[in-house]
Amino acid sequence: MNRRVRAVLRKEWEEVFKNGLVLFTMVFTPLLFVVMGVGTVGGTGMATRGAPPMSQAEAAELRKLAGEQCAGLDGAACLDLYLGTLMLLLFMMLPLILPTVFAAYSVVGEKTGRTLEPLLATPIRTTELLLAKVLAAAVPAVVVTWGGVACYLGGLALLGEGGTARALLSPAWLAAVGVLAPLLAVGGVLAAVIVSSRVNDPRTAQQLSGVVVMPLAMVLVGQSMGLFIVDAAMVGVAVVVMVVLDLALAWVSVALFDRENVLTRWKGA
Amino acid sequence: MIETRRLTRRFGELLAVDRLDLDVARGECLGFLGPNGAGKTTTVRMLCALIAPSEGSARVAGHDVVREADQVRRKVGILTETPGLYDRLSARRNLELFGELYGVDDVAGQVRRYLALLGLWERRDDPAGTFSKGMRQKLAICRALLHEPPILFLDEPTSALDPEAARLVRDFVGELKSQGRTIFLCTHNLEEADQLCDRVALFRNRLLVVDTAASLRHQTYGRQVEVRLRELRPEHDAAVRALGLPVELAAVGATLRLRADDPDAITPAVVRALVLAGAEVQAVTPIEHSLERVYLEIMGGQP
Ligand SMILES: Nc1ncnc2c1ncn2[C@@H]1O[C@H](COP(=O)(O)OP(=O)(O)OP(=O)(O)O)[C@@H](O)[C@H]1O
Ligand SMILES: [Mg+2]
Repeated sequence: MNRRVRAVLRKEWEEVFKNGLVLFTMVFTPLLFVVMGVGTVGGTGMATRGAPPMSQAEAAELRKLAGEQCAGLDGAACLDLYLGTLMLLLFMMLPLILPTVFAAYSVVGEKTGRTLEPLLATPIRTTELLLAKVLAAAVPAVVVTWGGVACYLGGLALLGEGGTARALLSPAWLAAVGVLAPLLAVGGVLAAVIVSSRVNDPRTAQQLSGVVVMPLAMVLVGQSMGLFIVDAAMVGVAVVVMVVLDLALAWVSVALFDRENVLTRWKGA
Repeated sequence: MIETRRLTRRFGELLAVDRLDLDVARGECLGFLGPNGAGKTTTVRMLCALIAPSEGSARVAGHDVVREADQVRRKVGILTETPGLYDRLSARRNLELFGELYGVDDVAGQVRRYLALLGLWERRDDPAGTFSKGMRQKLAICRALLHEPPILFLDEPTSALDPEAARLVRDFVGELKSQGRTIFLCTHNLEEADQLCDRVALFRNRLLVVDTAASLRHQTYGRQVEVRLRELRPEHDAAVRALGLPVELAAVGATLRLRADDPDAITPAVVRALVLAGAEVQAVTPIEHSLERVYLEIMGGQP
């Protein structure tokens, strides 16, 4: 990373984190997810522990929803794992939601503050500027996501759900959180950057780029209805798709951040 | 230091800059004057390698603005039309960022130097958003100078400033000029151009004229001299006309206004004739036309 990228990166963090709304979103959303996750899984766990075991019919119904992952587990453990993965899917939304907010404020802020022209008058390269913007938004989002997942699993262990937490640390989920999450974050930033170049209100930019969460939300719904479950193969496919998508979005963004484009075709710059 | 050859820029149908041919010498300050929408900012953007010409070419500091854009950017400092500061960052951090981007060796030292020079050192840690317009403009000027560019583009540096702040900025530009920097100054303020610039270019989508302010005045109005008398009587006027010199006469109250190509050659004879005709001469004054009149005259004639 060269001097110019570092300089812009530092500026981004200093500037955007002084925005209360961005900071609030970055802190509050993961906190909410941790509370929800630990509450749901830990709560049901505690409720089922003293209760009589599930009926045969109930267990069969659950198995249909939860599928493969429940192999060899009793009814209560299966329910915990089923809920546990759903909540983990919720955490996968963080790398999409958080950087979009950051990038929307960052790019729209540059436009309304008219700071892009002096910035582009320097010898910075378009790719360097974009790289700095992407890192600035994606790195904190990924760190927060990992922190959130760690708190979630730690919270489960504390509530006596250590078994569930360990089961959630499957290779598929490790890959999802470790590899797919950063790829999602990069895609989210780039989408937000592209949208932000077209609108002049950060909230609009944020809402428009918020649609990137939709496919993931569909996965969540699909899994909760037992249509499929996230497994290693699925994560693998998602990783490949995201790599291709990220490259395509990066290509569009680099063209969009070209000086000529920014100064003559961007709305409001 | 700046050479443009048929430099042209279109925005769709609109011809913003039309075949501009201009040369600015090293150390020269050129005033670039023109009404709103004349294409001044567009010209500056092309010369700073921010947008590309549609046709024609330009060299700045010896580098082609298209093929050697990066070198051009390193050699020029630009004060953009709006200061464009990061309002949440302190004055110092605003400058440090640009010092890094321009690859300045001693960023902290340069930042300190310019903040002090423009009287902002005491406020260095305050967010730029809390600054007054004049302070913002000064901070933007610091930003343009950190990398010690030999060529400066100033796009309306004193517009929107109160007279005192404007004077401060103007004096500072004068100082930059005396350091030998080449300055390209876009302005609506004709006094400013008159004071600071070696030559002025009048521009409205195309170059109308470029010359020294003094020469423009003479070309437009000829040179004039006013002779104030205690009392102007018909025989005074007649006495001057009787000389048969190449001079135009106009009477305004008790003042006789002479207009000639070379007033220095004619004035002594005129004054002598007046005195001999019994006129009491109180004052003989050369008239300087304001650049504003010249500007309006030339712009008015060029729709
Ligand atoms: N990105 C753009 N797209 C379309 N037209 C543009 C664009 N930028 C400038 N123009 C047009 O080009 C012309 C010249 O604009 P420019 O901003 O260069 O004028 P200016 O001389 O700087 O005016 P002012 O004194 O108001 O700053 C104007 O008619 C303007 O509308
Ligand atoms: Mg302008």
